[in-house]
Amino acid sequence: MNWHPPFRRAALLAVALALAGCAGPPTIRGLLKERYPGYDQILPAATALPNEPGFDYLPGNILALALAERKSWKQSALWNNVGIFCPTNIPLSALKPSIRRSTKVVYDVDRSLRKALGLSKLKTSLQLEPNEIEVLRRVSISIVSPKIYALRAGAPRPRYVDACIDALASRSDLHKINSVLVGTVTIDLVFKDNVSLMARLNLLNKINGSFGFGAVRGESYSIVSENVVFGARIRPIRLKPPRAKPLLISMSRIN
Amino acid sequence: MKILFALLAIFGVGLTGAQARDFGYEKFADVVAQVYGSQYGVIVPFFQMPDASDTDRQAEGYPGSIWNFGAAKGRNKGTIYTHQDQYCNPTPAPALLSSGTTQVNNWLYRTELSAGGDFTVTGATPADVIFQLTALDAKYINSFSIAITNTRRYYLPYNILKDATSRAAVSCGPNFAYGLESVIAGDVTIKIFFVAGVSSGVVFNIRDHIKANLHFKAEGKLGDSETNPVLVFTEGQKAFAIRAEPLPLK
Repeated sequence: MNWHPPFRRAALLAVALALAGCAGPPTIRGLLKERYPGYDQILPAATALPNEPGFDYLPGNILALALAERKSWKQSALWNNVGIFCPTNIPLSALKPSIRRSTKVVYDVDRSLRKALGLSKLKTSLQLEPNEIEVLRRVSISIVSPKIYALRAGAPRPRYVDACIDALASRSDLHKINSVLVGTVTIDLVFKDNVSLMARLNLLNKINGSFGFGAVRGESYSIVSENVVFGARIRPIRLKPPRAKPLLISMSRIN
Repeated sequence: MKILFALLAIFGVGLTGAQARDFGYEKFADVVAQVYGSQYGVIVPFFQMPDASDTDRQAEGYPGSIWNFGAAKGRNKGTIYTHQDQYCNPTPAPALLSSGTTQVNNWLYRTELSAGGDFTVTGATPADVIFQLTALDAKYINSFSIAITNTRRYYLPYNILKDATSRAAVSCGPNFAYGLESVIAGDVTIKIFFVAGVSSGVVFNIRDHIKANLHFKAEGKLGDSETNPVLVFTEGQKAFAIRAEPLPLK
């Protein structure tokens, strides 16, 4: 289709406005839902350890998770890592990651977010009061060099420790990690003019918490986490209880 | 009469066992729960994580060790674990696994005190404190900021964790209530911003109280503002959040 330039510009503008209208909340959960559907956020966040076979966010790991926030139309689910897990003992360096394109999502508080969410939902997603939202102009989240690690065909088989699997068998909150998203996450916050330093710091404290990770770097108001596991695709799993062992020993004694 | 005794027992114990609230740590516990997940609580006072020189692994901070804690709730969520260094390690204590995690920067707590020096938190009593400082000290302080960098999370696979706490319980006896499952530590900087015009004598007095109460070895450095003094404490690899469960681990 060979569109006339003014029509093309109008069409692009219409598409941009429609996308802005569909924007999710400016949180990692919102970004996961929009750009990496099927991936959830797990706290605490962790720097990816390439050579650690006992790392708790390895694909194939079995771990206990507590649901903190259910998934919604606009946001993926949020889970708390209970800290009870059995690793595959296959470090990330033994897996070939699937490289994804870097991505950036810009949330304009003045326009798109107000239209898409309304004040009450924005308040809920960032956990801010209405007067605190007023000081924000824009939030952008970018993911640089994202990679997906998964146990695909041809990858080494998990080497679970039997004693670990047996110790977990009775639990009902177990999940298996199918794959993890690793990348550098940067969150930039742009404030309106004439906002005091104290108001900015107060807001950053709150936002930093609601994003779940990152560090605020002084005056630049960027929250940066390098090489971090920022999403995981998980599924619930039930383990078989450990098998009884003493029967064979007593039979051999009888014989 | 039995009911009366039962009520006296319940409320009597409740009243005598009532702990002073710490409004600063209550808010910090909320942040810990929000950033690291509600399974983690703030540990008071922060303690030094062991380093490579602890070859026998006798220091405090190893997941798999057993502890006694007092537990209180954060302001809205989270937990505050208070301790008096009552812990016991299994022999041998397992080697730690660790990975980097979220840093906390520019977290600000504004002192919840009225101009008259009374706490403004609902349900406050005169015995309550702010970061272990009484209202008498805290009335000179405008705000506290906490920054934690080089943050690391220490943890163990479950079978090793369970085995370690079981061995510790056998060798250390029944007087410990919790198993330490995970620790988050980092380089902690606490800045204390004083109200305008406070005398240097008051600042130094409060510095000594903070150093003793929050277990800082380093001297607090005085910021360069004459009119609004700032005290800065910095110390490396302090454990500030933990996850713990009552023994025996399930």
